[in-house]
Amino acid sequence: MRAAVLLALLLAALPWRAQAHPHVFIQYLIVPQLKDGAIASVVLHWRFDDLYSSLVLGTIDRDHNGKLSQPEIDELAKRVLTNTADSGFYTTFKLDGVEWRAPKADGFTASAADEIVTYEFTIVLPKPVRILEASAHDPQYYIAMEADPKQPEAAKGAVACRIGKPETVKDKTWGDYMRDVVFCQVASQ
Amino acid sequence: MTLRAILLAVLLLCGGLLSQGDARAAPTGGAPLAVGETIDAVVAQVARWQSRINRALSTEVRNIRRGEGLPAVLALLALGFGYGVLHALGPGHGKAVVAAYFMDRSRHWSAAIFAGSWIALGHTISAVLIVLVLAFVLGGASMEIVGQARTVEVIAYGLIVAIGLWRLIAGLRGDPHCHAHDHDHGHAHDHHDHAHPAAATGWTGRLRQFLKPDAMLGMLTVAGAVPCSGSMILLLFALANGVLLVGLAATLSIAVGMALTLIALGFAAVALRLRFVDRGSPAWLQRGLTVAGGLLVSVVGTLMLVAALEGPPI
Repeated sequence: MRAAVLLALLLAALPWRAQAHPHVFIQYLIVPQLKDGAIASVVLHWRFDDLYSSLVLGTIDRDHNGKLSQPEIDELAKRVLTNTADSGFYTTFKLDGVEWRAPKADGFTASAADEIVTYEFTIVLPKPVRILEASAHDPQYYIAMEADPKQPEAAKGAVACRIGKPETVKDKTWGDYMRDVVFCQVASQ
Repeated sequence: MTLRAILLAVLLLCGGLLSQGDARAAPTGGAPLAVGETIDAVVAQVARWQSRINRALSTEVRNIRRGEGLPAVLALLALGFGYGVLHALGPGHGKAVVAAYFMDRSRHWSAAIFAGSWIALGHTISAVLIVLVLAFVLGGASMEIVGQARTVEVIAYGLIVAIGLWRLIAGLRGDPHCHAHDHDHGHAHDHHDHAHPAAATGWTGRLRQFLKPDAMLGMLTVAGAVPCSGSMILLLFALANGVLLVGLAATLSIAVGMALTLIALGFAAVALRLRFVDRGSPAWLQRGLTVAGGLLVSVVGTLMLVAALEGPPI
């Protein structure tokens, strides 16, 4: 009994499985790119919170004009891609039901508008797919990542996307209440 | 008897590993427990609140920059307080250390106030010093400052692991409190638990007793030396917006909020001790608790150390 109560106290005191301490907040958008009627690549948009945007601008925007020039973007690209490549850019894909993480990203660019920084880069899929699931998540929870509510409007043409609410997603890959999952599907002709 | 103590320690270790480790590999093959789901849902809610507070904090700082004055400053202070309360629930803010502090031996409830405030204040002072010094030296290059703070984290977590292991070994060897300056031990022999000498009564006496240098105070101090990243980021934001003083005030209100969470945890620990441990419980239980406390901070400290060594996540 004593042991049980003390155990309960200690477990409550421990850092939880999913941790409540994000310092960076990202809203992500996944824009599928179609080729021959299938999704061949996706463009990821990461929109940062005010505080982290200010950190990025304070570091990268050397001329303090509130905009990111090409040399500034190049410096940022080096930093971001080095730090996040190991984690597959914090993004897990399911391509026709098979789990996949991107080893590299292409065409990194970044912009600043109204003191908010957005990164943009392209992930080429290993093969074109008609059904794609993707979710961005930092297991350390230093970064809180959530799907941009504008996701459904971002997909154009024959492909439709929706955001799976964490509470309704029951799946081994996504077995985690903390994450959003984006589901995209190419409409059949 | 010792077996039960060891069993308790093993259970704690497993709990710690489960609660921290799974996210990376995520082998969530088995059916998740209802309890786990509930905790996840609570944590998700706390995160959503924190995200909202974050946004509100930056809005208020900008309002102050635009000259909105007192109402915006008051709103910022209130938000900082709420942020502190929620933020201290996350890892790296001294909860495990507070738990171990009260597992190590019987303490007066005022120790919860001192310990919670000690860590929260240290946590904030460390953040403020790092930001001010490095902003001056590096000319305000913000991401580098957050990166440099990791060095301090690595040293502090290393020390916490070392002290935790020391307490663990002391507990296992059965001499948890063999220091010359252990007053609690002396009292036990007097058979007057309620009649403490003058030095330990009243707030100043209690504070003096709390400030007696020993391993556990050292552990609280090292935990406090870890800079609060949340405060650092907010302070840098205030600096970038040219309202450093307002940022400092907000940082202080974050400290008060964090102290509140840690003090609440300390009170819970004292209450549980009074109910289940301090009244005529067998000696093995206290030994087991010292061991478990040492184990707890060693494990959590190691996990935090590994996370800090991994470098900037973005």
